[in-house]
Amino acid sequence: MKKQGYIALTTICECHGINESFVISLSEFELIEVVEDNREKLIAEHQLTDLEKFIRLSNELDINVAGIEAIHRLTKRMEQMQREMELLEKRLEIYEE
Amino acid sequence: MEFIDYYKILGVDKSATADQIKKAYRKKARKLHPDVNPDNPEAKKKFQQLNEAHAVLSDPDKRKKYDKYGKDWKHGEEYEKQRAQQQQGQSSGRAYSTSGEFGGEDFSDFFSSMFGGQSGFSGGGSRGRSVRFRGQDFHSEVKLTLEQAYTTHKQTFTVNGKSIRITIPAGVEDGQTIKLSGYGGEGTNGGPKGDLYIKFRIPNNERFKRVGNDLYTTKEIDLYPAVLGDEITIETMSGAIKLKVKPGTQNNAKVRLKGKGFPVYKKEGQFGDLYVTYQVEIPQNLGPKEKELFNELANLKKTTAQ
Repeated sequence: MKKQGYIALTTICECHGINESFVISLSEFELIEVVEDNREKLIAEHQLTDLEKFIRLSNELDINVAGIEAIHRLTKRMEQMQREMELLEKRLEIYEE
Repeated sequence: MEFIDYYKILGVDKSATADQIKKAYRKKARKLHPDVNPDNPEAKKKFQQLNEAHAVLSDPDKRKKYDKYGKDWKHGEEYEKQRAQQQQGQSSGRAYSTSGEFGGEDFSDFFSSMFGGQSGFSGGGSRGRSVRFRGQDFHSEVKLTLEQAYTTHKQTFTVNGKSIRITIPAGVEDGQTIKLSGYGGEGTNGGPKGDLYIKFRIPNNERFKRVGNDLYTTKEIDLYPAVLGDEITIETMSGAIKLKVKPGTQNNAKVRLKGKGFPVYKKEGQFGDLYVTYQVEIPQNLGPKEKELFNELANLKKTTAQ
């Protein structure tokens, strides 16, 4: 029986028309975690959104896995900074009256 | 409906070769791709225009038609009929088509009018065979009041004509996004449905300002309780409470009421703090007796100071 909340890597690769090796490379860069259950490679459902983003970056912009890793890290950092900025703006509002 | 200059969008000359168009497209796509510009609607819009420009200019047949009838697009249909009689054109344009999120959707009216919607793109992707695609992700923004966000409650939304009832946990933050799996667009060729992302917007209100899980408010108090100390009533988000004002409280003095702030998201029973800033009101329009007493106080102060 398949682990709950996980999707078989073969299913994902078939759906998106990608090679398994691409996902394995992503896992080597610690961008996606691939787990094994009864010799079947699986991916947690919550990682699908990220995985699909990586597939788009690869297919549409011809970016290699190292580039994807850099983009992912920088966008995460950008989002974090955006959140911090919003928090600081709110804190500033207290003194603006 | 206005004419769209696809050459200008791609930043190439009218005489540009297919290779130059491809290069210009790749360069701009890397800059404007929505995955490298999260939460940037302007970039997304420009990327769609870029996609449209590339879809037309990278397809020799479409480019020919655009070059000939671009500014006079209303005659495009006649041209199409003529072409159909001559030969069936083969699409070689490559539209972004993976998840549908950034795909050929939302092409302009100009494009639809000239090329008849997106029919020209079916099968135009790099993978010609029937591939299962996950449905489009939907993004929606919902405005909540501070009071609504304070308690766990259910709300019904209408997304793409479908009613969705969800539970919003207390303590949801301004700008926070929650994902509802499977509430997005239908998949193609039996692919799974997309997801629905709801972003919450929770503006501060007149009385309370929220920073993380803490709340900030101001309370006007008379001069007398500030000077002499007293017990006052203040409104918190969970109701009125009694608060002791210390004698000699200064204007703008701040007190922290532990656990009277905003509920912590998905941590039942945990709350932030409430910070109350006192605004001491100086009495105005004093009566003769009040003036007399204040003078007496002032004189007393002078005497004790000597």
